[in-house]
Amino acid sequence: MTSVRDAATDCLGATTPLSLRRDVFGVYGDNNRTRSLRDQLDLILNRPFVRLALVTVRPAGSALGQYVNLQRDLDAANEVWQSDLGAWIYCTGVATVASDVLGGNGVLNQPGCPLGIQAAPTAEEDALFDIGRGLGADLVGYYIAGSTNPNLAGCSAYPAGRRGFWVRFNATQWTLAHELTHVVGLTPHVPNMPATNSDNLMWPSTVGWTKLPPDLNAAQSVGILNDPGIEQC
Amino acid sequence: MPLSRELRSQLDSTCAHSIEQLIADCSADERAQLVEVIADPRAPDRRVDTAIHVVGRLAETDSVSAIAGRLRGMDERRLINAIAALGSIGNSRAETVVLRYRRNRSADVRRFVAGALAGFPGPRSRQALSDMASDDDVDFVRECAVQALRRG
Repeated sequence: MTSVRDAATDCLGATTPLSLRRDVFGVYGDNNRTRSLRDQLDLILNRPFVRLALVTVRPAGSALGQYVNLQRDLDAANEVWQSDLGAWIYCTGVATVASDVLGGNGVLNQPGCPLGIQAAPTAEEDALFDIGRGLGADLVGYYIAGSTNPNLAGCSAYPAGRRGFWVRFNATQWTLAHELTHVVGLTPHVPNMPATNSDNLMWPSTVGWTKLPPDLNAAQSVGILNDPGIEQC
Repeated sequence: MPLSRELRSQLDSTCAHSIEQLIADCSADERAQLVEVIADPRAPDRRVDTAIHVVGRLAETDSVSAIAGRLRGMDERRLINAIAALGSIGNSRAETVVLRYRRNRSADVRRFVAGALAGFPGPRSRQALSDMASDDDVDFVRECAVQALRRG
């Protein structure tokens, strides 16, 4: 039987000394729930996964630390992915950055949000998506105060070669999963009709889901699992 | 012209790709409806803000008066959205409105004023940007003004 140490080092590339919480479970925050080592070992050994790093971006001088709901959102994303894809999300690391890269209020200058590559990123997008590239994942998610359009909960457009997305502080717990899934497999929205599409994670509004946790369908699964960022032990 | 159900749904979405779809497919009738939403004092702020964002992306010059009429009383976040939209529209009337905010007390509003002024090629904006680049008392505002001068 494979040991936890071997699974973490061989399958995830973790290095000793190992932290069970971080290197094996990929847990970096508080979200009161029981975690089974047996189940986690099964995921590591047998299930496809994507590596994700998460960065909280605060204005320069801010004393606020990591986004308080980071682990809640990560657990929610794992709930959807494990249930509907049989895949999981391995958080390789987190960082909290206090910087004036987004001015004094943390609002990103981002005129548009296409699915996938942002062909002409603004200087702020360029600077933001440079952060967190040494955290062990090709894909980086950013928690920020928002973007130019004050109503957006998140966006999955990224400069070429730096895959990632941002989520607004205090967005719903499924928003990280929604934006992440836009990036992995370049999964588009489901159409507004039929109305039952509002059960799907990729429903266009990140506050309008009608069944929780939201779903992913078989066609979406194929696209996501064929993404080059998906690994398996 | 009543606001269509589909357009209302797209304006009320919180996900950017829905708004990208609206921009890609926006008809002349829908552009007119967007301007009406902005001018409608009963429209919810969220819907107005998204409409302003969309007409900015579409460079809809007919929307400038409606946007200018909504600026008073907007908080910093909403004002930033409107200024960015006016910068994208880029005509002389929009420039006049944006220039009013170059000494706004919020450094972040001034940061976006600098970015918006890059969209106006005339001497008024270049002079304002030169002043901001040398005189603004906040580093990141001066930096944005310098970047805007390089782009303009």
